Amino acid sequence: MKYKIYIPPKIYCFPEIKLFYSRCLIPFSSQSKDLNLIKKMNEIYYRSTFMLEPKIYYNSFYLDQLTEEIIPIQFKDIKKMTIFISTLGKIFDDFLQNLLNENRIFEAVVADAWGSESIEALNWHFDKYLKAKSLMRGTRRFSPGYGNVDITVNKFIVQNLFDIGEFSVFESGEIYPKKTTICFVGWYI
Amino acid sequence: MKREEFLSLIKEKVLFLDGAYGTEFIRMGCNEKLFEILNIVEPFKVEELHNRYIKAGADILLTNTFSANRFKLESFGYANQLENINYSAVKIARKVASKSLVFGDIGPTGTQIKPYGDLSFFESYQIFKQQAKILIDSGVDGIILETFSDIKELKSAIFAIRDIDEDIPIIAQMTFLKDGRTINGTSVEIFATVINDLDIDVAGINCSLNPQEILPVFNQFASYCNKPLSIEPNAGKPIFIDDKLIYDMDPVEFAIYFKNFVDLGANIVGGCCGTTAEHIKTIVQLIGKKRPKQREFNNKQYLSSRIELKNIEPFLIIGERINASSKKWLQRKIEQNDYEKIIELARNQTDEGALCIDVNPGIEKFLTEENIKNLIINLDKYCSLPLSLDIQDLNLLEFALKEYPARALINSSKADEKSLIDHLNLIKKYGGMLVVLVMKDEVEDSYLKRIKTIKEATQIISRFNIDSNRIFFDPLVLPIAIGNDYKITLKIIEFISKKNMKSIIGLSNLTFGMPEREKINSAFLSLAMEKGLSAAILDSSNEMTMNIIEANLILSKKESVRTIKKDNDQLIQIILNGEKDLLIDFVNQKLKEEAPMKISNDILSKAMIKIGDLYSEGKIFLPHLILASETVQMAFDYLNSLIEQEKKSFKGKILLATVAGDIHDIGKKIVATILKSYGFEVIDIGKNVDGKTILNKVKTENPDILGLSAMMTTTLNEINEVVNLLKENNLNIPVIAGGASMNEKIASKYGVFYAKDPFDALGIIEKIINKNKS
Repeated sequence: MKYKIYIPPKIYCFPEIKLFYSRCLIPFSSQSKDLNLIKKMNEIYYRSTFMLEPKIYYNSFYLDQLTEEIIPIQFKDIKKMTIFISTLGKIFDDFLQNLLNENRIFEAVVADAWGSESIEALNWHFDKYLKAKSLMRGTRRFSPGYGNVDITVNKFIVQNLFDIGEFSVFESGEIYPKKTTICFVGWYI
Repeated sequence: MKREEFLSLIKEKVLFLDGAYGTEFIRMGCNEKLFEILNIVEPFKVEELHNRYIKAGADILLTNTFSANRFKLESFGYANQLENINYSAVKIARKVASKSLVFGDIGPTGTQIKPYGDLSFFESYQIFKQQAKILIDSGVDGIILETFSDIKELKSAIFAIRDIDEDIPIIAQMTFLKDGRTINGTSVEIFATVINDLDIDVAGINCSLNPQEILPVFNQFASYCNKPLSIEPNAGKPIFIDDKLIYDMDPVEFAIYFKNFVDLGANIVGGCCGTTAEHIKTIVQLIGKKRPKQREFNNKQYLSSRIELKNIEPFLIIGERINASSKKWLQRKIEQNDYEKIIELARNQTDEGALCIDVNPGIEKFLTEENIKNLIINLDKYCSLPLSLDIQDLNLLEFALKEYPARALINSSKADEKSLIDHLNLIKKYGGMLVVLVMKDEVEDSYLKRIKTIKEATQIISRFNIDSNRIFFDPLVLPIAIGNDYKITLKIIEFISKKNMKSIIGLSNLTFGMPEREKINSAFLSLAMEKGLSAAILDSSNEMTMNIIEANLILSKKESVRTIKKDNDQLIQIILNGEKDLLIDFVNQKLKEEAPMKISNDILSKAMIKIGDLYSEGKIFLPHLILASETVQMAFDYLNSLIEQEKKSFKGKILLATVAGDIHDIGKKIVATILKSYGFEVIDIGKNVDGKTILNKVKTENPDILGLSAMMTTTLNEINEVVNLLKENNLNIPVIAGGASMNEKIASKYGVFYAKDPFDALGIIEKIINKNKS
C-alpha cells in the first residue's frame, strides 16, 4: 500500500455558511436579507451532509524521491512533503449529477458550491491535523494547477505515486469523483 | 455576576445556552407530573443532564425551575416545596457548572392574566417575585424568563426581578407562532419596541418553532430590537415512535441555521424543546468561538397596543374623545366601571383614522385605583389602538402603566424639575413616550420664556439617559377667543422642529368657546404642520381636519403614493421565490382571459426582463436568477404544451456543449436554463463532447449560435479545435465561449465571443439574433 487512509468526522466537511453563500455569488452584505433564499440554501446544505463519504489518502515523501514536475518552487528550502488526496466520495458526485439530469439547476448550483466549500473545509481541517500531529513547522497548503506545478500531474500522483483504483483521472488533470482534490504540505526539518 | 460583567462577556463572544430539560427527562424515562420535583427526589438525574450540556459546550446552564413558581406548584400539590425545589435546582446546577454560568429559569405562571384570565397583574408580579428571590438568594448568575406569550405577564416578571435586584442580569424571551405573533396577537415588532425600553440585558425568542420557521421571526425581531439578542428554537415537531418521544430535526439540520442567527446578530444561542446535548454540541462545533456581529436596527419611535404597532411618523393623530373632563357622563361611567360607551368611542376613533387614543379619566380625586385598572384592562382588551394616558395623578398613572401591556404615550408632565423627574422615572421603568408641556407652574406668555423652559427641560432629560426621540414637547395651544396669540405657538413648533425634536398640540383648545371651530382648527393645524408639528390630539370625526392632515402630508411628500401595479410585483416575487405552484395558479387564472402565447410573450417574458434588470442592477444575485429561470421555464413548458406545434415560436436556436476532456456541466446548464426562460430553444448535447460530435450536431440541428464551455485551462484549446473544425467545414456560425478559464483575450484569439457569466451570454445571444434578423 502506497498510502495511509484517514476517515474524518463528517462535521469537518461542513463549510462556513458565509463562504458557502459567497461561493454561490451572494455578496456578504446581502446574506441576511433574503430569508427565502437562505431557507432554500440551508435545505440543500442539510441534504448535502447526507451525501458525504469523506476520505483522505496521504503519504509523505522526501523531495529527492519525487520528479521535479510535482515539486512547487515554494518548496525549494524543504526536504520532505506530504501529499494528500481528499474526496467527498462518489455519492456526492451522483447526487450532483442526478440534480443536473433532472434539470434542477438551482439545487445543483448550490450543492456544487457547497461541495467546493466542503472539500476546502476538509482540507483545512486535515492540514491542521497533520501539522498538529507532526509537531513540525509546515508550509502553506499547495495544490497542482497553481505556480509551476501543472494540473496534469494529478494523473501521475493518483495512478503512479499512490496507485488508487477508485479515482479516474482525465488527461486534463480532472479527477472523478469531481469533489476530489490533491494538496501538498512541505515540512521544515 | 454583575450586569456589567455579563454584558462585556456577551460582547466578546457568542455564548451557548443549554438545551431542553422536559423532553430530555421524558427520554430518560422520568414520569413525574412536574419535572422540577426531580431536584428533590432524583437530583442525580438533573445533574446528569446538566453534565451532558456542559460536556456539549454550554456556557450557560439553566436551573431546572421553569415551572417552579408558586402558581404551578400549587396546582400540582407541591406548594410547600417552592423554596426547596428552587434552592436545590441552583445547588445542582452550581455543582456541575464549573466555569459556566448558572441562570435561574423562570417560565410563565401557566394561567392567563387579566384581561384574558383571572390572575391580576399584582398577583402575577408577586408569584415571580417570590420565585426570583429564592433563585437569586441561592446564588444564580442571572435570570432567564422564557416561553412567555403574554407580554403583560413578562413585564410583571421583569418588574418583580428588578424590584429585588437592580444588578442581576436578565434575559427575557417570548414565544411566537410562524406569523410572528404570540397566541395573544402580540407581534414580534411590538415585543421588540416594548422590551427596548425595559431594564433588561438580553431579549430573545424561544420555543414553538424550529430554526427554519423561527428565522424570519428572529430576523424581524433583530431589526427592531436594540438589546443584545438570544434565540432558542425547538428541534422540530414532537413525534412518538414506539412510545418514544423524539423531535423530527436532527442535530445537523438544527445547527445549520445558527450560523444565520449569529449573522443576524445573536449574542446567545441554545435549544428549546426536543433539543439534546448532541444538538448543542453540533451548534458549538459549527459556530466555534465567534464575536457577535454588530448590527443595525430600526431607530424609529412607535406606540403600540398589545396587537397594533403604530409608527408615529410622519404624523401622529391622537383621538381626543375619551375625555371625561369635558363629559360628566363619561366620568360617571368610569366610576361605575361601565365601559361600553368608552369602548364604542375608542372603536369609532379607530375607524375614523386615529392612530392613538387619548384617555382622560376626568376628575381624578373621584377615581380609585380599581377604576383606573379596570379602564385600562378594558381598553387593552377591546381597543386595538395604542393609548395616550392623560392621567395627572402619579399614583394612578403608575397603576395604569402597570396594567397597560404595550408602549403608551404619557400625557403629560409639566416642565418643572420635580414633575419632569417623576415622569421620566416612570417612562424609564415602564417604557413608552412622554409629552412635556412647555410650562412650569403657569403658562408663560412670551416666546423667549417658553423656549427657555424647553431648553431647561432638555437638560434634565439628557441627565436621565433617555432618548430625546421619546419626548414630545407641547408648546400649548391657547384659546384665541380670549386674545391669545396663536403665532407664538407656531414659532415654538418651528423652534422644536429645527432642533430635531418632536412637538404635539391639543388642537381643540384653540377655538374653545367659538363658533365654526372646524374651519379655524383646520387652518391652524395646516400652519402648524408646515412649521414641523409631529402630532396632534384632535377630533378625528372631523372630516375637514382629517383631510387637511392628509393633504399636508401629500404636499410635503411624506405620504408615499403607490404607483406600481401590485399584480406585477406579486408575479415577480412569485418567480423570484421559486413558487412553482403559485405561478401555475397565476397562469391558470390568466388563461381564463388570455391565450397561452400572449401570456408567454406579454406577461412572463416581461417579468423575466424585469428580473434581468434587477440582476443587472445588483439587486438580486445569480442564484435568484437561476431559481427564477427554472421556475418560469416550467410555466413556459406548461404554456407551450397548450400551443399547437406549428404555432410555437422561439427567439432562436442555441446548441450548447462542454468540450472534450471536461466534465463540468453546471455552468452550461445554468446558461441553458436562463436562455430557455427568455424564450430560446436550447439543445444541450452534454459534457466531454468531442469536436466531431459537435460538428455533426451543428450540421443536423442548424442552430443560430453555438455555445461552448471549458472549465479547465487544459481543455481551453478544445474550443479552438472546434472553431477550426467548423471553419474547415465552411460553417460560419457564431460561437460563444465561457467557463472559469476563458477570458476576453483568449476568446478573441480563437475568434469567438466571450461570455463572462450566463446573463452576459444571454445579452450577447440576443444581440446576435437581433442583428441577424435586421
